[in-house]
Amino acid sequence: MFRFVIRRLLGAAVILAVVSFATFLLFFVIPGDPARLSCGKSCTPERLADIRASLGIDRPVLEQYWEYMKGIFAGRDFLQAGEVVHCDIPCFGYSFTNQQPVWETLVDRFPATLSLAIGASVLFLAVGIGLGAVSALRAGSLFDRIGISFALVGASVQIFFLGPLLNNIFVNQLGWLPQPRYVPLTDDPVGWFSGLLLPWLVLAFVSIAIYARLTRAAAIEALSEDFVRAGRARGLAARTLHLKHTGRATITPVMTVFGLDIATLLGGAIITETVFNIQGIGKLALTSLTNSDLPMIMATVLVAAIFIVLANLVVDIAYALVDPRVRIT
Amino acid sequence: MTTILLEPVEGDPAPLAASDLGRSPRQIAWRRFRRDRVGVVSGLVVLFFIAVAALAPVIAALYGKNPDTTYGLDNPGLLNQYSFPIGARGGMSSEYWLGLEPGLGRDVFMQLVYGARTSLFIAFSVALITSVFGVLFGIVTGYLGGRIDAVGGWILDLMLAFPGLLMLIALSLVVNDVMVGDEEEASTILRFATVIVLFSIFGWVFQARLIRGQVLSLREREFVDAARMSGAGTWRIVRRELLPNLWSPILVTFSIAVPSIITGEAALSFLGVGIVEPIPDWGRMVNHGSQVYLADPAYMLIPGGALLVMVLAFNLLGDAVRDALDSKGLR
Repeated sequence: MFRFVIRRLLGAAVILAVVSFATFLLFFVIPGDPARLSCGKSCTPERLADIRASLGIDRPVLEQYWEYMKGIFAGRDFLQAGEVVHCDIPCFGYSFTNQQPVWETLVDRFPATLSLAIGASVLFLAVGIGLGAVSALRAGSLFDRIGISFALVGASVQIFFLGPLLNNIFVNQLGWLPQPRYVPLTDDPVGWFSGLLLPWLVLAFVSIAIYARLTRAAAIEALSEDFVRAGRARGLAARTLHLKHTGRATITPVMTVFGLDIATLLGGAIITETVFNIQGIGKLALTSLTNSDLPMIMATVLVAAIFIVLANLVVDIAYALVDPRVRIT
Repeated sequence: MTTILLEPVEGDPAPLAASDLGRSPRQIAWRRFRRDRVGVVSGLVVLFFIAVAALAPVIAALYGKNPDTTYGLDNPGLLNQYSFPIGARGGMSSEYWLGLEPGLGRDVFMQLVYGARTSLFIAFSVALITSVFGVLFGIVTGYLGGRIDAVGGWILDLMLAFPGLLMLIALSLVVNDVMVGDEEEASTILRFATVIVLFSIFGWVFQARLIRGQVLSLREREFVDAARMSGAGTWRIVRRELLPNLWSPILVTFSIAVPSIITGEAALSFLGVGIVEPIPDWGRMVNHGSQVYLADPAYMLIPGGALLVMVLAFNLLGDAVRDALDSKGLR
């Protein structure tokens, strides 16, 4: 088990290194002149010189990349307006648009994204798995058919259509909900909840189908397995049988998909955050992209990739814990 | 873009009905599909959208309008002082069937018809490219196995580590920047090409994973061994033994890919980085519509509703195809 974890960890590290290098090449090397690009329309010669210096674009690519990675793990010094500024670990550089340290901005924006991801996950897991489980136990019933159709509509609807629609109806027209926004949970729990309720509902609705179908399929398969029949023959209570025996077999596929979903959400729910104007990582990524704020773009891509790789790692390890057969591979 | 990434599991084939005996697999699948009422209806809806997209110029000629003319600006009395269409439901009338676009006053029906063209052209192009590439990748890595398969699996893992939507937005902006200064005319084609290429770069992984999994299990089957024993070359085995068994997963992944690309493309355009003016696009229409919803709800409901119906129809059709081909494990 220990060797398995170590191997997966090493694999994840290699993947992250490659992703970071590819992203670096893409944003810092391919555009003709990244300094010019990130300086924007109102570019002064001084700022251009500043950006050139901070990017170090006159040096070889590998050296630039090395400097960038060194910044993350060891910190680095920047020349800003003639002064040397030290940028602490983990240093992702400074934003080109507002000169703020990238890492601090990320830390500042992350709670909104985290709140959005957790609330939506709780909703879609609870409703999706519940719907799938009940559908599996009553396969072919009216509930089964209605539930699955409802979920399928959710899977086909676009966040950028449903979001503005519900926002206009429930916030602007009926006034039942406040304008969606993020307030820290610690400041105002009620405001936190009511401000994120609509984004949670919309984000959860589009994901319920996947979990409902996955749970339903896995549970129906598990219910026909020999160990379930044996349990029933032994006279186990339906409750124990369904929760413990079937449940365990059902949870693994759900876990895999959830790992990827939560990673994607933590990397920033770009569309949802844009639709509801929530200042999270996703909105930050989109704004930096339209402003060609390279250090910020690079950091948001890296953070998102880290979440994906980590989630895969956790899922792999959890899989190995639940199912010993996996450890061999 | 929700794609379900699962290693394929082998489902139990449904028991063969007595009436299916002696029929080819294709006939059986077709009979099963025809009996699936939801599948047939969604298939017809899909065909309808494809027909509308393909016949857009014909429809435009019969209807007597085009998607570009700013009717509202050119003819006084159609838009009010705030540039909103005059009349109920966004200015719907016998002249302008689905009303006028707020602001420029273009014909909504024409925008919708040509928008379907944009959406479906991109979706089918990308689905085709990614299927071909995914199948090639899956067969090569899965069948050759060994070190090649290990590298192939690693490449798939690597591709999955890139945050998809973020990369799509980022790359389209990088490409835009590189293309700055191009002529107007070339940029329409380049726009389409950019979106198609970018979606293909990140889309093939899904197909490749599924096909690779299928090939890995097929390769161990007796008939492949038998072919190898009787001296068939690699190419012959791939073409005569593997490919015929891969048609169902290829069809299923293709039908899953199309609606997810439609949604993805519309999302990109909604965010203002995909297809830009003056090419009609549903995602961009929804974006514009969401800003004017309170004054003119029809302008958001029409493209949004059309998008929902089209994607739902494609999803239901995909389900029906999968059920008919009996490859349950693929979704």
